[in-house]
Amino acid sequence: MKSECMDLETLTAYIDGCLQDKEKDAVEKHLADCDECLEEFVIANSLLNDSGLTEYESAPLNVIRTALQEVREKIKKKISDWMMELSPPPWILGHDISPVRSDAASPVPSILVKKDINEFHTEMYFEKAGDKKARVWIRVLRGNQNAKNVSLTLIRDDGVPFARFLKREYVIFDRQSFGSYHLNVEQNPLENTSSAQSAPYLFEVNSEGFYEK
Amino acid sequence: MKRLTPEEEQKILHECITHKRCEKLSRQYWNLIYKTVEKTFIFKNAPLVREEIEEVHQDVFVQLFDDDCRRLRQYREGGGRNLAGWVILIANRTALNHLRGKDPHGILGRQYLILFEDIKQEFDIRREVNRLEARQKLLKILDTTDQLPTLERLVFKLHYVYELSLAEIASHLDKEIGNIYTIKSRAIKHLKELVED
Repeated sequence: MKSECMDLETLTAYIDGCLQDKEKDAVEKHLADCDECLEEFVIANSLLNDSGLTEYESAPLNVIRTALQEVREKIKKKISDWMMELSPPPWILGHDISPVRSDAASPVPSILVKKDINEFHTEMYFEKAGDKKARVWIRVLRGNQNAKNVSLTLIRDDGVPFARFLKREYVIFDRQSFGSYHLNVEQNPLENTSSAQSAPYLFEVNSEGFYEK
Repeated sequence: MKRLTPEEEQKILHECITHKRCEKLSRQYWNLIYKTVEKTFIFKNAPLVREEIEEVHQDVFVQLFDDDCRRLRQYREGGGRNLAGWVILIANRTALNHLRGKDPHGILGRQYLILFEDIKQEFDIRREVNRLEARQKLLKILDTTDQLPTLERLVFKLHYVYELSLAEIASHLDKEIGNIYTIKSRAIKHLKELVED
């Protein structure tokens, strides 16, 4: 599918005959040019007119409940798009600015996310760094103070872990590939007297933005 | 399960989007989604591997509920489309994206295959005694379709590549069948001229 391909709403509106003449002409031109969209259009029409698909049989409730539980684990929610005009937060300014930022005339797409993870307030700042990669700064607060003796582990969906120990105000994970991650923020196990199990924060960062899972 | 009225559809949609109670909606469309995925696989001549169809079936539900039920919130009544129709379109796109991820050249293969069988008569390709020459002529016809005006190109592809009847094309494009017949005849005439040039 080409990058300028039709979204599903436009395709549906065309099939339903709900478009103005100008929009209709644009869709027909695209269908004539794009083999993938034309194929989808043909199959969609065939399915929508298929009388065998009007049956509404269901499955046992327990099967559906189990499946929905699995689906919930995969669902994500968009938290932020990549922003062109976002300034780096004050806590990293003057410290480790990305090399790509050296050209002040070209702003770098970035994202700032603030999240409470376990007992910590966590701020994550992402900057795009080349093709499908990002540089990530993470700061961790406890109360209003920088947290001390905290370890951060970023685990990519392919299982590769990247661990940092928070020694100063923040940590950097450089050139992280787009994808799904687990972020564990934990007090140094030797100092952690709490019996509570720490839960990882699940997120995905991709070319569209930042998603929470 | 019975077909829902528009009011019932709105009710299960509301439950799902606002209250995150998605069981009723899932039960209602469970098998519809499975069958849609299966039929998309059949259309694409993909092997019907149960585990793979179940994986895509689950992906459709992820699409429906992802990002705060974004896809379900996009549903608009009207145009004769009910919620089941919207679900079918989402399931179809999810299955196609899955299959295209596995075989990016699947569409091209299908085009050549059908054209070889169906268009020989229209262009009198049987006269070509040499199979290589016949093949080259077919490839030239395919390349030349890009030079046709939009509607001629579209009708040509729908008829000769996807084997839709002129009546089906008229219905899909919301035009009179006589109009489609004229467009198709014009496309063939133009193509013959272009190929001979």
